[in-house]
Amino acid sequence: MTPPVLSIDGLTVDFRTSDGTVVPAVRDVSLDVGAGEIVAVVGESGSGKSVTAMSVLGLLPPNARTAGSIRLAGTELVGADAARLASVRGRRVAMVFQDPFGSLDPVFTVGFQIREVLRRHRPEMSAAQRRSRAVDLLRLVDVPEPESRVRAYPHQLSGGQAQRVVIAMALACDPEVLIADEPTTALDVTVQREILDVLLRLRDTAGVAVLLITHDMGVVADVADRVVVMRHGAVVETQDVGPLFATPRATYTRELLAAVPRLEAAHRPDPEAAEAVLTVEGLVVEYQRRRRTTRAVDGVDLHIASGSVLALVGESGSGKSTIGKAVTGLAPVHSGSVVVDGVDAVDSPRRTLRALRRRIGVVFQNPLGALDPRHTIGEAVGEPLRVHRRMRGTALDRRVGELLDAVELPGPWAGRFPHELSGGQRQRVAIARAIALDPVLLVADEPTSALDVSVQATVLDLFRHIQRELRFACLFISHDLAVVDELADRVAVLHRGRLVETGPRVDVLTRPAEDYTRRLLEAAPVPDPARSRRAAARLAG
Amino acid sequence: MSEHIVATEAPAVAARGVWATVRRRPLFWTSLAALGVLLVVAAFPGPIAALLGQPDPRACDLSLSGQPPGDGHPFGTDIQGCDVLANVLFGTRTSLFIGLTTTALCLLVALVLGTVAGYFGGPADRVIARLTDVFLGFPFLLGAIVVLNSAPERTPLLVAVVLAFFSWPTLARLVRGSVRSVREAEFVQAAHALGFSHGRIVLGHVLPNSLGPVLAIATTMVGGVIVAESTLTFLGVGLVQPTISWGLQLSTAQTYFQTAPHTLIFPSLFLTVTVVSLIMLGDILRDALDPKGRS
Repeated sequence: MTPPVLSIDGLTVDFRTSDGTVVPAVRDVSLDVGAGEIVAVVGESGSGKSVTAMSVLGLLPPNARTAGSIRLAGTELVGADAARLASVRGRRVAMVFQDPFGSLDPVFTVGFQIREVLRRHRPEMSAAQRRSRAVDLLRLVDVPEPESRVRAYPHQLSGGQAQRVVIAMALACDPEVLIADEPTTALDVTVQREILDVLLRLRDTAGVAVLLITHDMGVVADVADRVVVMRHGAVVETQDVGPLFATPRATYTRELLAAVPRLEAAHRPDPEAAEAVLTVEGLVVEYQRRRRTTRAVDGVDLHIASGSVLALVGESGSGKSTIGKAVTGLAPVHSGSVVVDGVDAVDSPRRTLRALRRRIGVVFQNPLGALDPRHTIGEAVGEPLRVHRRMRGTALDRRVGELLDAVELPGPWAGRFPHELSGGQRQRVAIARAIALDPVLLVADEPTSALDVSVQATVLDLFRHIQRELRFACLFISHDLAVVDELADRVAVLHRGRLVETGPRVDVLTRPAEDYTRRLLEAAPVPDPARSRRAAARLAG
Repeated sequence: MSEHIVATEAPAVAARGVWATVRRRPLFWTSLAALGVLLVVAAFPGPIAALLGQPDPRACDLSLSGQPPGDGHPFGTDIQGCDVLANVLFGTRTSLFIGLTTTALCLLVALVLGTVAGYFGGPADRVIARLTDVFLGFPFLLGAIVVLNSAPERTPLLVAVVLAFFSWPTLARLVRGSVRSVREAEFVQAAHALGFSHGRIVLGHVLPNSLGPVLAIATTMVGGVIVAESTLTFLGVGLVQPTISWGLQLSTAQTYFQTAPHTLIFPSLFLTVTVVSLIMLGDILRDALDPKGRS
């Protein structure tokens, strides 16, 4: 084996907080990345994977203390001075971040930003050379029509194109190492697939060493050569990708793999037929901004029977969240009808609408954002009861206790504030509040996509359990087909505001009738290197 | 899963009310003490001035004009030969009254209009935004001169109302921006989805979460207002003699700063203590009202 390009040995990072305590972030981490190799660092939030990546470029905040050794082809980077780091950053080690629009300056064209990197690191190039190099770089990362896109501003690009531009900028100086921190997390699955293809091709043709930071086992299975599993700041296991999935050595790796939702489309008993709780017919939602009208939802029909779960899937911009908002009265309905439990949810007097809202529970994606930071979780769960049921005193406390109990949180936690809870616990609070008024319909908008996989698994379990017990109808909005497979009875696929396909879960997920559904299913990352590589090979062949 | 939760359970939660938190902050007591002393001075300037030498701010002796601090006059005398300490003490009431009343009025107007504009948006927002533009575009001094000159009697209350009349727009804009950003927060959407009324959402969720920056600016505003009063007075449209205020003293003293610096320094000192105490108190309360700052 060739000597590694990037070699991290015994890396330890501590953060000193303002009150003098030392918080260890990374403990004794060692890993090597060779030329032409993709090494994935996986772990859940707080595992220290991003801190490890940042320390390579010395990008940690000033209160961090770093020990150990990071060698880039012989150059020591731990404790290096500003000059040496500057000679490495962007030139020999380049970084790609999660949010492409956050990484690009909105007031300059993408070509200017690529040329800026070249001006800084390749001062010997002439202006004309820089211009042609920028176009070449965009072509390298498969940006369509690079000659004209070089003059585009970031907001004129799609998310996938913007991330390609960011990768092109990173590649401007032919770096030896590319560090990609969750490069596809903010992107849709079909776009994710394309970006991963670009990374694979760079590895094969340019021989770049890639350190890929991710939480997604599907991405790991798809592109990684070797995998480093991290937990609580330490390396749990390092293996080649095949053996890691086939025979994981560490217990934690096994747990992590078991928690990853898989698209298996296994048969489950259908819920018995019941009358429809939610009926959406010909729904059109239009947003007006100045003189322009955007049609977010265009003629959608949906039915959910009581006690069953309808999953609404689609990529970003497909209008799936807008439908959820229209049902809960948070989006302007242009035409069409939404009937919840026999009540028209669009054209009713305000009083009727308010009464209707009490019977619709809502769970949002970001559990921290959905809870008022100034209210304890007891107040948050109790507020709907206080307002709508006029519950007070011990009756209220008892009901809040029951609800917290139902979501498996200890009753005495009622006095805690949202920031004192973990993401999964917060989402449990949000669920408790949503079911406080015994809703007939629950709208859940990506309730688990902000959570780590192991937490996601437990929250999904809880969700399913509560749904079976309380038998409410549920509109479950998600982009993750594997999650949908675990939870839904019926699936509706949306694309650009229109319904592409709707039907029973097993039918849609195994025998899709439409091309778009098929593409979506093919792009979904599979946490199994054998299967996903086969798929890749089939694509290539 | 339940084991998982028990394992991560933090040690027993201590009582963390607002009071329990501020009680432990020495700065809270310092600023409270300073403001307390100022309030006592504002209530009983006479007896306190008597204790410290000169009980009557208007007993002036022109032969002692501009004396530096010394016997009988701990803060010295001003250009008219009046005792600076007595004047500062007697001015406390007027200045604090104008500073606090103006700020309170501004805050009231700004909170109501800013919240309506920021929360409801649409036509209400446009009307209120244009209204603030009109007030911001209108020259403050000119407006104040016109209003105050046409008033029959210029009391501290009238001056406070006029000052508030011309200074609420900046604060209202701040409230509007702050409310707008909170309005988009998911927990506000969640409250809508739960069918809560607008009043409940605004008072229970939006305002408490948007007050932070507003209060910070409001506390610094008190000092600015006290000085603005002196500007009006200097131009002859503010308070009239024989009213005593820090602003009056400061505007008289600035002309004689080189010959009698103490006439400027002592009133400014009191003004600074007032403003700094208010700012500190505001900061501590803001931290204490935020649950994240408490634990």
